[in-house]
Parts: sequence; C-alpha cells; structure tokens
Amino acid sequence: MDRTHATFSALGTSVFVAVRDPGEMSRARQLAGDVLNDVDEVCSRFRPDSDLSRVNAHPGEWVAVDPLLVGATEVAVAAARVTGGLVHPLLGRNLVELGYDRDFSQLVRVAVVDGEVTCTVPADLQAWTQIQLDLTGAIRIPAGTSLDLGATGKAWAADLIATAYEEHLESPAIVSVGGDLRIARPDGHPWSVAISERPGTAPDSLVTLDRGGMATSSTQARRWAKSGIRRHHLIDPRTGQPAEEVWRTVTATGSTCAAANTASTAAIVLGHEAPAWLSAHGVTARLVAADGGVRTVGTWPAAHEGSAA
Amino acid sequence: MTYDSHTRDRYRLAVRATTATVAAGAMAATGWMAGAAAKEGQAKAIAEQQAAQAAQAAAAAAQKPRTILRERPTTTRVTTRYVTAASSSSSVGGGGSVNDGSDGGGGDNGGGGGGQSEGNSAPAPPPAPSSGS
Repeated sequence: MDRTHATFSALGTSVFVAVRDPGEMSRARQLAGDVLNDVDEVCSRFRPDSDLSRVNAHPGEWVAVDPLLVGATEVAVAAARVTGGLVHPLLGRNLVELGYDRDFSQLVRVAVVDGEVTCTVPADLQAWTQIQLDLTGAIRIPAGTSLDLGATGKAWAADLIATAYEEHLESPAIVSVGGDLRIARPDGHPWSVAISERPGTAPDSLVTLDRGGMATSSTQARRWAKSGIRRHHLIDPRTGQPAEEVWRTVTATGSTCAAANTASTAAIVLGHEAPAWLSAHGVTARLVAADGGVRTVGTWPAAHEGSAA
Repeated sequence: MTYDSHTRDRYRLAVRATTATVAAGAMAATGWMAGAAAKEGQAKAIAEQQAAQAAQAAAAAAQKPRTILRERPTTTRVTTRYVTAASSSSSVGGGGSVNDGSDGGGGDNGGGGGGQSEGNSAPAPPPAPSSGS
C-alpha cells in the first residue's frame, strides 16, 4: 500500500513526515533524516564532539564551527531579540545545574537525579547581545555562559527540512520534529493537526492548518526530579528557575516553525502577561491553564474548548 | 623699513633656505651618528630592533581573535542555501489559518481534514502531531 506518512526517531524525539504524493514519501523521509543527522552532529548539547559542545568549552573565544550552527544560533538570537531575552539561548548552565545534563531519554531512566538542590542564578537578559557570529563559520559566546538551542532548535530543524522539501519535492508535505511542525509547498488544502501536551498521548484538540508553522510548548513534557523537587525544561531567565506554571501548555502559529515556537515558549515564560503579549504580536494561539482551562488568542477556533480566566 | 610684499617674499625665501640647511644638517648629523653607532655597537642595535619587532608582533597577536579550529572536517550535507532560507523570518505572528478539525473527515484514522487533493487515491495521513516538547 502506498504510504503518505512515516514516523522515526531523531534528536532524542519523534519525527513525523507526511506527503500528498506517496511517490515522494521515500525522498521526504531521506531528506528529513539527512538534515536531522547533520543538526544532531553539529548542534547537540549532549554530544561531546558536537560543534556546540566545543563552543561551550571555550566561552569568550572564537571557535570555528560548521555554518549550520551559526544558522541555528542566528535563529536563537532572533528569538531572544523579539522576546526581550525571555527566550534565551544562553541558559545551558542553568539547565545543567537544574539536572538536565544528559539526553532526556537517559534523564527519564534515571528518574531522580542525585545531588544537592541547586539554586541557579538569573541569567543576564542582555547577554545574548554579546554573542558574535561569523556567517562563514565561527562563533564567540560571552565568557561565563553556555549555549543551549533547546528552545528553538527542533523548530528550526523543521524549518530546515521544509526548506529542503521546497527544493526537492514537487508536492506538499508536512514535517513535525518533536511536535514542532512546518508545512512545505502549501497548496491551500489544510493539513490535519493533533495537539497534545505530551508526545504519544491522546490529542486534546484537532485543528487544521494551511501553511506556515505551529509549535506547542508544555511544562508537562520533559519533566524530571532532582533531590525530590520536580523540574521542567522551560526556564525563566529572569529567575534562572523553571517558569511558573500559569499556563502548562501553549500552542502557537507563525510564518515559520521557529517563529511559532518563539511565541509559544515566550508565552509559558510570561505567565499572566502572555495573552496580551500574544495579541500585541498578532499571534494566534491556544493556552491551557494550570487547572486545564483553555484560552484562545487571535483567530484560533474557540469551539469545543473550555475557558480559562 | 617697511614690510611690503618684496620684504615678505625675501623673508620666506630666507626661512626656506634656513630650514633646508638645518634639515640637511640634521640628516647629515643623523647619518653620521647612525654610522658612528653602527661602528660602535651594530650587534646591540640589531638586537634592540629585533626585540622591538617581537614586542610589536605580540601586541598584534593579542588584539587579533584567536580562533579555535574544528577538529574534524565539515561533513554536513545541509547546504548553506537551506540554512539561509530557514533563518529568513524571525518575527512572531502571521502564519496560516487555524480551523476546527474535529468535525472534518478524510483522515485514515478519523483524525480530521487531511487535506487530500482531489483525484489522489492515496489514503490521507494521520494528523501531524503538535505536542509539548
């Protein structure tokens, strides 16, 4: 039977690819795999031989890197710029101090990380402005900082794959990297999207999307415990701690997946201020409050949703 | 004596001549002194010159950013063209139209609109996941 979709693992998460033309499925799967292999080799915080790890080993110095990492960092810096540093690319040390120091699948197996309860310090909200990029292949991060592209990396990878599809496929396709999705070669026919708080769980909402990107950020995913204290991976740079759970899940759209992800992550960090911020920036979004109530912003369909204050 | 244009021009010529004479004398004196110094301690002068050049090179090296080279060659298959295009939009907002998909049909798991093109007999894929990550 002709297949129009495939699922596989990469970057420590699940990847979903779907195409309109079954004849292009194999090509789409291959392109996505190639791109994600490259992204993993260059941008992973958990690979000691990655370009990102080498940058982090030499803060304050110029490090020659693959231009791919420069592109990824450029997107992360852009996210910081548009959010005033709330989506911050230099939270690597905070995450390590909070216990997120290995691939998340290993973190889950460990379940409880040994060690003292650590109080991380707030990040310098403007530190990202000191990141220096050489587009031909070199990066310098400020001394005393550590680069982490977890906030934007998967979304950017989805955009990267979609860009490859634009060039190499002839029919529409959609790719989701860990739940951050992007439509390639849109033809006006919408794609069905299932929204859930955690990968592999029953969808909380079914919507359609006709172009661009969509991303979901949730405090319910990537949780761990350190010394008995539950943590999640969405750090508020103003405190250096996991963001207060005013909203436990936010789904947002954008012209790109990175733009959508920037908005959804910023909304989690902003807490009570998120709906106003999203509206002011023209973002269409769905927010799930800590008590499960749902609030929508922009043109998100409100049908069948509960309400949140 | 009045200070007219002729006087002024003579004065200028005198100043130029004097300046040229002094300059020539100074050059000659410098040459003589250099020659004398060379005769007295050529080795010392060369050593001092080399020390000055080394200090200058060290200062230049301190100003130039030291780049730590990659330990492995570039092996990525992703082209710069992709990277540039994928990084093109950084502003939030915009994007596609979101509609309720719960009452749609066509998905092979009953999961919504599917966006099946007319005339295409392939089954629609299941909904793409957008999950917290």
